[in-house]
Amino acid sequence: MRRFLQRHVSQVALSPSLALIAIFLYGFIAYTAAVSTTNSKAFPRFDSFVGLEQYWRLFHTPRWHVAFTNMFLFGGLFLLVTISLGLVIAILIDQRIRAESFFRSIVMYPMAMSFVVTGIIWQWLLNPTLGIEVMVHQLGFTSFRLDWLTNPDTVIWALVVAAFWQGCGLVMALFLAGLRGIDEDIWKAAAVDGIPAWRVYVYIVIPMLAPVFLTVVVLLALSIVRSFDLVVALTNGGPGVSSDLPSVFMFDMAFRRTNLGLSAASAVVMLGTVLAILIPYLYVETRERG
Amino acid sequence: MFTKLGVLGSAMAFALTTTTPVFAGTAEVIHWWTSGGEAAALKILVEAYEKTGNTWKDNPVAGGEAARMVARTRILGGDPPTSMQWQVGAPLMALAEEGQLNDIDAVAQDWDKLLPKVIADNAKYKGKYVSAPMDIHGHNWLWGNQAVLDDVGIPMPKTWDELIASADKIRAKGYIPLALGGQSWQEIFVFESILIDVGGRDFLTKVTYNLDDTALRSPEMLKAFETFAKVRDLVDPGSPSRDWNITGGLLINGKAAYMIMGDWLKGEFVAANKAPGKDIACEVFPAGGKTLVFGTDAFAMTAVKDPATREAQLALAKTIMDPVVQKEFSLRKGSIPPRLDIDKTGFDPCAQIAMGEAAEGHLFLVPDNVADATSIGALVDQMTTFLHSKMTPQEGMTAMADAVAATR
Repeated sequence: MRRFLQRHVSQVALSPSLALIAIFLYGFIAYTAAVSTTNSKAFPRFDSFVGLEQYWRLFHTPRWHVAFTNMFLFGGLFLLVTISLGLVIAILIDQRIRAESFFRSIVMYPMAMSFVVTGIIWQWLLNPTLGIEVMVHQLGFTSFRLDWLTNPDTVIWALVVAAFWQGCGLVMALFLAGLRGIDEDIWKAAAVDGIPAWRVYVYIVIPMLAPVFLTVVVLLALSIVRSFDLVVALTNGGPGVSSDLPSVFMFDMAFRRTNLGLSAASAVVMLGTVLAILIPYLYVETRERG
Repeated sequence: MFTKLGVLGSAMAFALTTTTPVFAGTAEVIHWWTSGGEAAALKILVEAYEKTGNTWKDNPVAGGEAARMVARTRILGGDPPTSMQWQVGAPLMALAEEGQLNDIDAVAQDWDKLLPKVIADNAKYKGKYVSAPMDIHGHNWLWGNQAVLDDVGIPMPKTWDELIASADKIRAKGYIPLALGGQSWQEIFVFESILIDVGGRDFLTKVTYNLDDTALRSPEMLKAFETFAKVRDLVDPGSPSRDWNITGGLLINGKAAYMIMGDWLKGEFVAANKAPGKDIACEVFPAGGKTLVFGTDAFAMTAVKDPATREAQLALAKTIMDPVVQKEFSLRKGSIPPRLDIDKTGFDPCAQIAMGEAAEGHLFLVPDNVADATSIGALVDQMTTFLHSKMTPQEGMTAMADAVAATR
């Protein structure tokens, strides 16, 4: 017994948390999957098995298609804008400018706020009857229009702008830390060879930041999947249902439309999407290490 | 060891036997009436209830959805509140079917005579009352700012054609014709009133209760979509996603001429010192449609077994249906009482109109509380998508009918 404990001390120590994960993560995933095969309404009921009917229903719901497409549209745009602009700001701050910490604080500041506050601030700014548009009109440019928030075709940009405003500081900080970690000798050698700074950045420094890129992408991807509060505060899914995201759809079906079965089906599809992206990544990672 | 447990056990048993009588007649009630006017109305009920010798244990949760979620979680966890605010109709039946509700027929023998049939039917499960109705709130009200209407020189419209025809005159004077908060629950009031306008009560029943495919693709439906498309031009650019009370401000401050909203908007009038029926004209819209779309807040009685709590439930149901409580409550809440035998004195002119409609049997229970939630949900999603898009009426109609069909 003593020898067993000595040999397997880590397994023994971890087993309670593994058991908890098994129940509260995988157990509930299985429970959700089970609910998605029933016709549950307000309460989970397992005596109403309907097979894959809820999935059929889900894929015939126009609103789900809007929400699902939006997740990729919003996610892609958000990643692109945040990473590129965050990197540019980090490089600019890296130029040993005066009052660096002042500028750094300005960019970092939105991170201190919750998504709900961010959403409400941008709701006011982008509202065409009281925000930026009215201000520009008062300056005399009466033909100016900024109707991102109220136009179903552009509302996704309003979400991206608000999410960028929130996420940019973190990205900038990570890139700045990466840039500061680059060996000074590289810059000296480049200066000796007379290579312009932008070429050093494009061909040497940025490729060296690859691990930082990976961290940034993982962190941003997480915030895309959990972006529920931003949508609720900024647009509430509107105009119409044009800025719906799967998380909002799922919540609506479970608690407003009291259709737990359909809601569970949408949750399973969301999980499937995440796995479809995650599994190839994990496969590559583990092969490289192993 | 065992003696210790025994002592503990007898102490607990003693505590139970001595405390049970003290807590007898306590009703723990979950509700979402937290705003000023609502709280003032609820106070009437609480005070009347406590006069019966029972105790009201208040459990307010801000927001209807949040409150319903708390109540549902408590039921699932095996610790139901004594009573909870709910809505008559389908949401109530969903609970009753699960066996989660007690009947209160012991105090409800004469309720069938006192209540409008539609409310009585929807407060009962298998012929037995499982909830006590507290109020009636009308949804399809057209409110008009009288000062704006006088300035433009037009009367309150009776039909959608009249309303749309007056829009140009209103716009010429610099007002917004229709104040609308572009959220689906606000827009559906507009759409429902258009459905009544084109096809009357029967058509509204076919479309929203039965979700009848023929009706959803009929010429009347096309006409409704044509009218609904014109609503896009009646509203201001700030409309999408705007909350109802902020939208109400546009009407009250004289920026907009009309607004379609439930009678809880009256609370905002009173707060702004505007008299409903005088400063703000009102009309069940379309007039002559003989249809007042309404919702009823009711207190559902959970399936508790403890006899003392059971007594507390029955006493609560009795208090809710007390004529004095019903009148005083509605006067503060802006609603009308579900009991038909309450006299109209003291109520504002708009509430008196609503009481007349209720007495005439023109009540139409809000489709959310009747139709299948998923199907009516698909209808609402397509309704709001249409309004915020450039779809033609024909495309909008087909998209709606297809989306509803897919939920079956």
